[in-house]
Amino acid sequence: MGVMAEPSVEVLRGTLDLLILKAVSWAPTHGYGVARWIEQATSDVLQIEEGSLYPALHRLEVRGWISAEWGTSENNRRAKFYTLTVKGRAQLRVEAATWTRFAHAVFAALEAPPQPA
Amino acid sequence: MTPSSRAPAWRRYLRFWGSNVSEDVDAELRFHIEMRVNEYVAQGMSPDDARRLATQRFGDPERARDSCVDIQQTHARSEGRAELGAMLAQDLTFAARVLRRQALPTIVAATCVALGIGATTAMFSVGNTLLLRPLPYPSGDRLVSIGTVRGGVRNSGATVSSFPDMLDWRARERSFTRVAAAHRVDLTVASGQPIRVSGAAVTANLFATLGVTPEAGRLFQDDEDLPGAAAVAIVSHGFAARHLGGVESLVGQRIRIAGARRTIVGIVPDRWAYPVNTEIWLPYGRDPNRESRGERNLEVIAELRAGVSLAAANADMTSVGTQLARENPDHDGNTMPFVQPLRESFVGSARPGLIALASATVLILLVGCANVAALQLARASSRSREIAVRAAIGAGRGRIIGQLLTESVLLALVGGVAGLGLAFAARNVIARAIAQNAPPWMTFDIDLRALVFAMIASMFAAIIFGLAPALRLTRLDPVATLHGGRSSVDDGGRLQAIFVVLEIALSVVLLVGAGFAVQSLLRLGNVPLGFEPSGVATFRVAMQGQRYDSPAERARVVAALSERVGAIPGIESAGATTYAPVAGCCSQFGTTIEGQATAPGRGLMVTGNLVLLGFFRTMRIPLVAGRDFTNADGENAPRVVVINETFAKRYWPAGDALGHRIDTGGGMAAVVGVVGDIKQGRLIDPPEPQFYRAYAQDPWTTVTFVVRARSGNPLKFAGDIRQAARDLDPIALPVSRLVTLQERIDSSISTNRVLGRLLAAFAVVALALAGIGVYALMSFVVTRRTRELGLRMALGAAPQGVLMLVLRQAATLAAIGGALGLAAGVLAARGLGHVLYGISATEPTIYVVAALTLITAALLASAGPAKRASTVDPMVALRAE
Repeated sequence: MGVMAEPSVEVLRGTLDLLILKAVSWAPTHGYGVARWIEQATSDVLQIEEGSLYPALHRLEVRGWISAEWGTSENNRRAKFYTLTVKGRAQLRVEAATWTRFAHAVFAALEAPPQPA
Repeated sequence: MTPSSRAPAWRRYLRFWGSNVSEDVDAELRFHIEMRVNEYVAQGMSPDDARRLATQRFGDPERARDSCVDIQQTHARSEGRAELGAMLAQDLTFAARVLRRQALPTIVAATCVALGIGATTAMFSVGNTLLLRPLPYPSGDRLVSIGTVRGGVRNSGATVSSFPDMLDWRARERSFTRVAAAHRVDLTVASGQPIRVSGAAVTANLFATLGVTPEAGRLFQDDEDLPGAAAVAIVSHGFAARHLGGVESLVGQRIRIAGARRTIVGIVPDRWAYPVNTEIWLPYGRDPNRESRGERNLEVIAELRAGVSLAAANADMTSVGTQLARENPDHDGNTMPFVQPLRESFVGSARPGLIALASATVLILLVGCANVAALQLARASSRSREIAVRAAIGAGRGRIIGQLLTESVLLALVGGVAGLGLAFAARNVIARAIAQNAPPWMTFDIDLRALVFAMIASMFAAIIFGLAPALRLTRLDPVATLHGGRSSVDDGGRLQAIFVVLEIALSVVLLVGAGFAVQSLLRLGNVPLGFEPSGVATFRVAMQGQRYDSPAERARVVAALSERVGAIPGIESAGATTYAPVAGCCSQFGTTIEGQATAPGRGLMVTGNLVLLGFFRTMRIPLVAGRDFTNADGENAPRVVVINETFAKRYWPAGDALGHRIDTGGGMAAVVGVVGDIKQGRLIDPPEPQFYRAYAQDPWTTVTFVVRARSGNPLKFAGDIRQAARDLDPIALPVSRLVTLQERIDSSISTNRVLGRLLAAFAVVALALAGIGVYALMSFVVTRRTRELGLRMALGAAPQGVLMLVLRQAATLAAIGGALGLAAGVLAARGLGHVLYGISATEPTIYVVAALTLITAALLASAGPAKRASTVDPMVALRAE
């Protein structure tokens, strides 16, 4: 990883929540795991700001979309694991659909032929 | 940031109590950085570089941490509130379930609380009215009454001051805005049928002093109380409505009052009547120069000047009194005015009864609480397992105490509501007991203050009886309890025993109090009256108006009425006197005895009555020596007097009273007869010297007739009696206060009777409660000792021995409680001595009876458990548990 000069895309507002929900949707995952997954899944294109990852996690926890539990990490450390709740899964579906529609719309706009004036 | 700096694992559990959010967030963020460092190191970076890079990549950890903590704490607070609500709801539901499941103990406990709360709340509402609620007069609590101490006797009633004295007070005092006086007098009002009305002759400023405004018309004007002013009157609203056909256009009308026509100038609302229950007010209208300082017929009120304290007013009046005593040694020599709040003149006499009953009700409440506490403790032993389970699965001690107290509070509230019902029913009974002459504005309602009181008392009770069991239960060790059955909660019921002992002691106090009250009643019932009340009725006749200005006419009319009434078929005899015996007390006359010197300035005052022929015979007062009056003892005959035995014995110890002469005012009179002593005033008072003069020789305007029926209730002749009076004078001879003599006697001791009944009722309740307490305790003890008792029996103990074992334990408790109760009872009896007639605190029988009653009750209550203990089957008992 080391190449910090590579251009990265800032995560859009509201998108971080969606990515977090997706990240914890398979198995209980700690914050670092969420960050790593996002980096890997987007081939390091999306670099999330780690300082805002944790407040986002806590906000989602408080909202009841994810639940938290202390456990032991793969390297035997005590870590806080987040799991998607039933409510969170529903939210994930809704937000994913919304985002996809949004993205399609933006694409469509970008691909559209130039309009006569 | 090494693992060793992390908080120990157990700290995590503190999270149940909602504390270290920030520590958790720190741990989480630290973990993240560690992982990132590891990642970089794995990629071949030096640890230092890796750490630097990881930290840099993270951004600002402080801000992240703060916003996480903030999110969590905000959430925790709202969550906490919701949880508290849910917890309370859960506690309440659970408490209700527990109470419902154990219906009988709950009913018993709630009844205990209800009795306590009911009695105390009723008592409170009475005390509230008497002592706390403001007086209804606009001048309110600045109103004082001025009384006098004469010869050591405090008097704030109707005979405090004479007109000249009152005027001197008014001229010299510096403490009051106004000083007003009233002279109570019964008035005959002729408007159709003549009627007797409570009236008052008052100074013109009376209503202004009270702050009263008229409902219609006006009040008296300043000079209207001078002699020779216009004949005016003010009437109460109630009187106008009842007797004058309403208040409309009444002002300006003229009615005949006490034989003279007067113009009604104003109407005042009933609640502002002063003296209490007065219906007609006349201006005092007498000439101060022609009134004697010795004629004390006024009650005096005043309004304190702003900023003047009661103490200052008292000092002021004392100095005025000292001056007057110096200036008029004959009349004011041993008289000293004092100032007290006007409220005192309404409640002063009720205060001892109030205190006695208030103490009794608090005792009942405490007995009830002690009982419920004992019951709860007994139940606690059967709940120890339940509590242990709850503790073991993680309920904190505070949570369990909260749960148990919720039960107590719920119980107390149920009891409190029932108690309010009781209070509502009981308040008037209590009020009547201690404040018979309560003015009409004194209504004994359950007002907001009383409701709040009941509420607080219930909570207080809940805490008293709920806290001990709760603390006890939650102190137990869950592990031991779950393993070993009930043993760990158990101290042999000692705490419970303490409550039961307390309860017994309090009950003994109540029993002692009730004993004295009942004894007082019995004594009063057996007091020798000196006359025979059964079959006798009394009534009053007052002669007002021009016709009766002549003494001879009064003498003639009274004699004629007595004769006519005596002639009614079924009436055995009739007579008359000035004041009827018992609570009709009294007129006292300055008396000199011929040939016996009295100390100067300390004239002999003797109670006297003017009696009509037939009085002694009708009352069946025995003639001890000499003769009764005869028809010959008329207006122009030599003055004669009949004295009672005490008079004769005190002043003529040799027994030769007959023929000696005394002067009771109006010249020397020869003693012609000696009659037996009677109770002229209160039943408890020892006989005092008393004399009787012939009515014909000094015919007063007001007379009390006594009439004896041949059989049955004398009041059945009421119609005939009134008709006889009408026949003599159709307009101005109303018959009033027609009652049997027995009623008079009864009402004179009604405080004793009602107090006696209430205290007896309280004592019975306390006794029952104590019995329940003992029963519950002994049942608990027997159940707990089943195994031991079984073992004893297996080893050869006789059932009787076991029975005695249990009974002995109960008797010990009763003895300890009884001893404590007796000690407190002595104090209680001393207090009651101020309220009840004829009791002395050193009356061993009552203490013995109270103690024996309680010990018997305790033994009876423990008979059931003891019997159960003696029939324990050793095999079953040993196998148990």
